[in-house]
Amino acid sequence: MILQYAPAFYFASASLLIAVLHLLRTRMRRRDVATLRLWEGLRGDPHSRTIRLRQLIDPLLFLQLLTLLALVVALARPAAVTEIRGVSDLAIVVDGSASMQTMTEDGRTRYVRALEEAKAALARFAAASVTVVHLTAHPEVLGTEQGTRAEAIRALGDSSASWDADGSLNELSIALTPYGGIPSFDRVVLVSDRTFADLPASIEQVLVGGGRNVGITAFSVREDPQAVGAVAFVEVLNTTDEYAEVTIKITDGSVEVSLPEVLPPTSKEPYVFPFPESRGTTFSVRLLPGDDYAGDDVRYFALDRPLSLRLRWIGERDEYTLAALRAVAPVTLVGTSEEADLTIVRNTSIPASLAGNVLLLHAEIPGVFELAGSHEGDPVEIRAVDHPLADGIDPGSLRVFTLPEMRVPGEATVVLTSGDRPLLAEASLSGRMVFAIAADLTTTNLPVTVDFPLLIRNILGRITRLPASLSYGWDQVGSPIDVRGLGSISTLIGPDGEAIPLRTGQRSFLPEGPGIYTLETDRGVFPIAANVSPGESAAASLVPVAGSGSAPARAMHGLLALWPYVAALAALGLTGEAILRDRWDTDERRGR
Amino acid sequence: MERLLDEAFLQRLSNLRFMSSGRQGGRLAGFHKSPRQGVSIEFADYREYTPGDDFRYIDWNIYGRLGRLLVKTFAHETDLPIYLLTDASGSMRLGSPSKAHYAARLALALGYLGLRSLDRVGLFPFSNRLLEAVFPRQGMRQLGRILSSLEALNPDGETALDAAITEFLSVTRESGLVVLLSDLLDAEGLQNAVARLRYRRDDIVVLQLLDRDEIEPTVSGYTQIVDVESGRRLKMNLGRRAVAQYRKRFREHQRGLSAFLLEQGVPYFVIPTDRPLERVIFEDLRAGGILV
Repeated sequence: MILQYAPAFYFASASLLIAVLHLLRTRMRRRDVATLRLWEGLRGDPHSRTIRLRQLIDPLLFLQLLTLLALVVALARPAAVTEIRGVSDLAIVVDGSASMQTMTEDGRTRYVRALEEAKAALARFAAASVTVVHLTAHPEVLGTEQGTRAEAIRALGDSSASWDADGSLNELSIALTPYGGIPSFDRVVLVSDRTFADLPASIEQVLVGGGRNVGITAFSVREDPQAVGAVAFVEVLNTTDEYAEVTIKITDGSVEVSLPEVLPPTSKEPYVFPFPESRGTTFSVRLLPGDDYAGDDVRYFALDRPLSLRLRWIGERDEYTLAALRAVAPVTLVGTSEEADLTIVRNTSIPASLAGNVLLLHAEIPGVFELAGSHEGDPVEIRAVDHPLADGIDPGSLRVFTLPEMRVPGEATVVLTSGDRPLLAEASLSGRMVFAIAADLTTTNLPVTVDFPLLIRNILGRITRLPASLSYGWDQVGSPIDVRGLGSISTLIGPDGEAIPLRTGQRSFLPEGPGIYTLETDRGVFPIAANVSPGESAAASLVPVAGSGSAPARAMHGLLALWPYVAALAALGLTGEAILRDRWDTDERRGR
Repeated sequence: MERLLDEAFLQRLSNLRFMSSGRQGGRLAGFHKSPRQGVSIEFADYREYTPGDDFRYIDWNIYGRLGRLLVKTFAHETDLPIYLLTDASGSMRLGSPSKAHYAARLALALGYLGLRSLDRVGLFPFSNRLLEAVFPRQGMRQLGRILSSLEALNPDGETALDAAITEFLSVTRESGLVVLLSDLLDAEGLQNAVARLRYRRDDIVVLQLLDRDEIEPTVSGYTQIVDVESGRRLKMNLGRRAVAQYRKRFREHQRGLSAFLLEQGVPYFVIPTDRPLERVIFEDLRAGGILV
């Protein structure tokens, strides 16, 4: 035992004062009487045990001196030197990857359990300094590096699991490099839900697990190069040791396909979904029902093409048409020599050899769609009932004042007519769609009616966009996505619809959660799907690595503060003295 | 010092007065009937004629019928000298309130009653001798003198009742009502004192003032008992048994005192100082025939 403040013993001199006061105190009671005549000769009572004891030794003085001594010793701040299993520099590494968000059977996430393990490790080791590392594919040091135990606990409490991928030992080593690397720490406690191979002896691994997971580990979509539609590839992993009844649902935002399936225990099953009607660019697949880990229950995929419609305009520009197009979908005007999803031709003619989908506005393709003469318009009628182009169109609200006679090819479908003359026709020619509106829009009320954007929507729904390039990339949450090839970024919208702040000249961004990100550049609007790393779907591996944490902790000498106990003893002595004194006084009053 | 008496209390005393036993004679007219028959309107008795008697009071009718010379006597109302003998020895300091304080209040109240009845009242404090006295006078101014004297009293010294009474008798020639206020725990000399007073034909009233702790002492354990008058000390463990012995001895003392005073026809009152003064005056002294 050592005394941290020995000068406190000077206060022990107060014991002399107590002793003097004790001696000065009249211990015998005094009773003044009028005359001793009535008292003389009386036989006093035999002294009680208490009085005899007090005459022999005054326990009150003893207790007072004992209390003073305890008080003095407490002031001297005694401490016991204890040998504890300690380390000088401790690193607490907590796995903060997405899988740590898995809910366990006791209602806590793996991460919360990992925090408790980390705090337990802090209590287990008396470390001079503690560094807390949040280990993911992009590890970071939390709070104050090489701080105190309290700071470490605070940093742990402020942290949470991310959607990032697992971090490796190499990444951990890099993260600790500014502090001398892993070897500079006496002990590293790594709390994770997976086993790390080849752990150095100075790293002690603590494993946490729990929760069941059935998830999607792969998802990609490829357009059908031969026809309208796409094909989706899905891989589903069942990490449980039970059969799992699931439903796989894929959607492009307008068309949805689903497949009920039973997954064998601990299996990984691939599925190929034909998606014949899909013309979408972004897709998601959902696994129902949900489970303890949500990071792989929904996956996202975006074809490698912009969401915006690439539009080529030939002839006179018409702002009504452009406005209707922009109201329906993002539009990017491209040059006349560039490839486009749709070419709009107005008041002119184009050669039949022009590739791609075409919308003819009072325009011709010689030999295919031709215009002749001009006639007064008649009431508009739907010729092809239930045709997709006429969906939502009210012909009674449309007026045509003049229109030419339009000659359409035999395979064309006349959808709307003015009197007997075709007003709107559609033809599928050599794998492309041609739409033709015979009248000049200025001779109709079409641009100012609500039917016009509906008509444009119907037209765009009928075209097949330029095929996306084959890309099976899987952008992961937590990893920076390089967008330099998509042009100059103007806005970035997150999966939640909120704009993500961008720096000037930013060329990449770091998705923090899974979903479809929408990037608007000078070259169009591009969807970017970000998913949680499929590696996070794997079951927790709870088999500890042999030799983990086998390096002996350094024996350290710690100080166990004893003064609270001694102070409690002083308080006890004081209380005992008070009780004893009160009791004796009572006894004397009662004549015992 | 606490006020000895307050106005309200004195006001309440206004309906009381001393009842004398009929022996005292005074020089001034008071409310008390003097044993000296004389000119008065109230017939008192007959007595044999002696030479020198006033012829005017011979009852000639009786002489005619019986042949005896009898003189008619009349009750003569006179004042009553009241001597307040207060013990001012050291033992009177004891008690809470002190016996001296209680005695002062009681003496003042009695003095007030006497003065209201046009009696002459005097104060004679004593310890082992007679202290500075206030000689009997009439009138309410005398109450102020008595009050001043009482307030100036500082109880001290031993008690020597016989010597004090001897001195008292030497400075007062006229008999009267002697009210003795003392704790009488050391009653040595009381018999001589009473005998001397009775010899002078004084009426005596003894008021024994005792603190409750003197009547029923409490247990105090290992105690040093100090005689406040002599300073003598005694150590004993004052437990229940010792207290019981004391009580027995005290009862015997009181019994002896009571028996002697009864035998002497001296009214005797034991007054614990925790008894309200009002009750002593309005109940005890009235019931004892001292006040009416």
